[in-house]
Amino acid sequence: MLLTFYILGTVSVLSALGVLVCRSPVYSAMSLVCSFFCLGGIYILMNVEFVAVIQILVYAGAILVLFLFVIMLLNIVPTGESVRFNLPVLIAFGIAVGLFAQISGLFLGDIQFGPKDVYTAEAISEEGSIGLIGRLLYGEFVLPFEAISILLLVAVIGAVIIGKRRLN
Amino acid sequence: MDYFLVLLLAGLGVTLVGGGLIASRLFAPRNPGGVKNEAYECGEETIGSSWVHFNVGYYLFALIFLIFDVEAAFLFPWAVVFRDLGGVAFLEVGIFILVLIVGLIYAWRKGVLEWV
Amino acid sequence: MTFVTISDFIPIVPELILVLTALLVLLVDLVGTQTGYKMTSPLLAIGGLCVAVFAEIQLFGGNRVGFFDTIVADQYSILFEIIYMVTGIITITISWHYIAENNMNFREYYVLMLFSIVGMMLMTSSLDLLMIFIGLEIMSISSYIMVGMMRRVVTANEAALKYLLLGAFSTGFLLYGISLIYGATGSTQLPAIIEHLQQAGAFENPLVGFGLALLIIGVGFKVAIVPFHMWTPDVYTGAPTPVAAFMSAAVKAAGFAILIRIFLTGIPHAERWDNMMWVIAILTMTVGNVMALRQNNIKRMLAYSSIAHAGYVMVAVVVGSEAAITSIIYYSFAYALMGMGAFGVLSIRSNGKTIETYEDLAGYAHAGPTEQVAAVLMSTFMLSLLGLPLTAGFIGKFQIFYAALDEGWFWLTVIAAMNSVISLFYYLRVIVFMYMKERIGAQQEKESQTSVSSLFAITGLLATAAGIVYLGIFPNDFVQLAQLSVTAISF
Repeated sequence: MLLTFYILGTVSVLSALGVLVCRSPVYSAMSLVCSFFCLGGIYILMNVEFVAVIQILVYAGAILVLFLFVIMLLNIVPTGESVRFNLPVLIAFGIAVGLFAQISGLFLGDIQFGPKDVYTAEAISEEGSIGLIGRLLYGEFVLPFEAISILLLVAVIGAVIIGKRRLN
Repeated sequence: MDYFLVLLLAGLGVTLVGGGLIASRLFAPRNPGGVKNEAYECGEETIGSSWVHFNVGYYLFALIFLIFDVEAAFLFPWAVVFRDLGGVAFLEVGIFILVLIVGLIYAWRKGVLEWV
Repeated sequence: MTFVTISDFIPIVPELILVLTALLVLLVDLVGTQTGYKMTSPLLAIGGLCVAVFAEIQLFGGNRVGFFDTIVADQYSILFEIIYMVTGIITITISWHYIAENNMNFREYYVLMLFSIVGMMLMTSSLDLLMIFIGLEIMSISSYIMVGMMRRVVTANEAALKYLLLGAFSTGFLLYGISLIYGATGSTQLPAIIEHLQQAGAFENPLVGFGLALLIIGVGFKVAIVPFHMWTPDVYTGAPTPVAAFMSAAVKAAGFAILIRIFLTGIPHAERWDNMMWVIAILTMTVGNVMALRQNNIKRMLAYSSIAHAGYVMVAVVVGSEAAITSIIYYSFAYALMGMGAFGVLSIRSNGKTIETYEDLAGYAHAGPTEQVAAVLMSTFMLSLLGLPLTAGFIGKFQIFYAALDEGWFWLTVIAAMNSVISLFYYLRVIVFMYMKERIGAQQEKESQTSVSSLFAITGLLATAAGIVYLGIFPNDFVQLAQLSVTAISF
C-alpha cells in the first residue's frame, strides 16, 4: 500500500515537473495526463473512488482534450524558449513560496478536524464511497444536485454563444 | 476494495501493446529508406508543416463533450445505488437529465452538432 | 433513506417559476421564427419575474424551510430575492433598447439573466455552503457569458476574459475555504458550523481562520472590495451597459447577502477580525472615490463609484449590529436602484451615439425630448448616489453612519463622510456637463428620433427614479421590512 503510494506520488510529481520542463506544449499536456492518472491512483488508495473516477474521466479525459485543442487552435509551435526569470516572475515566485510556507506552517500546527458523523473510514470502505455519495447526492443533497443541471445548462448556452462561429 | 482485477487488466494491456512492439522489433526485417520514409504510402503529400490551426469548431465540440461528461460523472453514483433508492431517485435523475436534454436540444437547434 | 417531499418545494417556488420561465424563453427562441421575436422574450421574462415576485410575497412571513433545513424562505432571503428580481425587471426594460441598438440579438440574454437571478436566490435562501457555492457559480457563469456577449467588440472580449479568469480564481478560493471549514467543523450547514465556531477555542484551530479568510476573499471578489476590485473597472466598461448595471446592483447585493449570512449571524464578534475589516472598508471607500475622480469615461467612473459604495456597505459589515444589517439591506436596495438607473441612462443612445465620456454628455439636456427626460433622471440618480436628502441614497448613508456611531465607530464614520464629500465632485460633474456645457460639433444636430425601445427604457428608468424618491421620502415601510428580516436571521 505504502509502496504503491510512493511510486504513484513520485511519478505524479515527476510528470508534473515534466509539464513545466517540456518544450513542446503537446508533450507538456501528455505529461499532465500522466500526472492526473497517478493522482487518480492515489485517490483510490485513499478510498475515494468517486474522486478518482472524476479525475480520470473528466480531467484526464475531457479537460486534457480541451487543452490539446487549445494548443492546436493557437498553433503553439515549440519555440525552444524556456521560462525567463524576470522581476515579475521572481516576485510571483517569492509570493508563492511564502504562501506555501505559511500554509504548510498552518497545517503542521494544531489542527483539529470536526466530527466525522457516521462517515468513518470503516463505514466508507464497507459501502464504498460511490455508493455513499449516491445516497447523499440523491437524498440530502438533491437540491444542489438538481442545481448542477442548471449550471451545466448555462455552461452549454455559454459554450454555444461564445464558441459558435456563425449564429443563425 | 480489490483492485487486483484492474491491475490484471492494466498489465494485460501493457503486455499486449508492449509485446507487439517488441515482437515487431525482434522479428521484422529492417531495411529503412526509400518510400517507407514518406508519411503516407498512398494519398497526397503533405504541404508545409503539420502544425496548423485547427478549426475552432473542434473546440466547441470538446466543450460540449466536457459538459456532458460532467453530467455522466454525476450519474455514476446513481448506477451504484439504483436498486436501493428506487422511484424517487429515478425521478430526480430524470429531472436532472431532462434539463440537460433541453441543453442538448438547444445546441442541436443552434447547429452546433452540424459540421459544415 | 429519506427523500424530499412535495412540501420541500414550497420555499423554492419562486426559483422554480423562474427556472421554468427561463426554459420556456429558451425553447420559444428555438422554435420561434425570426420575425416578431423581439418582444416575446423580454415580456415572457418580465412576466415570469412578476409572478415570482408575487409568489415571494405569498411566502413572506411563512418562514418555511425545506430540503432538510438547508433552504429557508425567511423574511431575510425573501427581501433580498425581491431586490434581485426587481433589479432583473429594470434591467430587462433597459436591455431591450440596448440590444436593438447594438445588434446583440441573443435571446439567450434573457435566459441567462433569469438563471443568474435563480443562482442568487438559491444562494441567498440556502443555509448550506455547498448550495451557496453552486448558486454563486450559476450566478457567476451566467454573468461571465452576459459580459462577453458582444463577441465582435474587443473590449467586451477583454472584459469577459478578465472576469472569467479572476472570477474562476476567486471561486477556487471560496471552494478551498468551504472545504477547510468543512474539515474543521464536520459540516457544510451554516447552523452547525456556527454552533461549532461558538464553542470556546474553536478559532485556535488554524483550519477555521484560514478557511474563513479564504471565504472572505472569495466573496470579496464578487462584491469587489479593495484589494479584490481590480477587475471591476475593465469589466463594467467592457460589458454591455445593462449587464454592468445588473452586475453592480444584483450581483453585489447577492454577495453582501451571503456575507451577512455567513459572518454576521453568530460568529462571535471578537473573532470577526475588526481590524482587518475596517482597513478593507476604508480602503474600498477611498480607492473607489479617488479613482472615480480621475476618470473621464463615465462607465469607468460609475464602476469605481460602485466600489466606493461597496465600501460604505463594508462599514456596516464592520459594525455588524442589527441596525447595521438593516442598513445593509436598505442600502443594497437603494444602490441597486440608483446604480441601475445611472447605467441605464448611459445605455440609451443619443443621436445614434453612445455616451462614453463626459464630453459626450455636453449639452445632453438640450438635445431632444428623450434626452431632456433622461437628463432629469440622470440628475436624480446622481444626487441619490451622492446622498442628497429626499433620495434613497441619503437615507441609506444616514442609516449606515448612524449605526456606526451607535456602536462607537467614530473615526470610521468620519472617513466615510469625508469620502461622500469627495464623491460630490464627480457626481456633480455629470450634471454640470449635461446642463451647462455646449454640445461640441452641434452642426450635425439632426432631429433625434425617439424609438419605441428607448421609450420602454425611459419608462423603466422613470419607475426606478420614482422608487428612489419614494424610498427617500417614505423610508419607513422598507426599513421596517428590513428590520423584520434582520430578526429572522438568528443572532
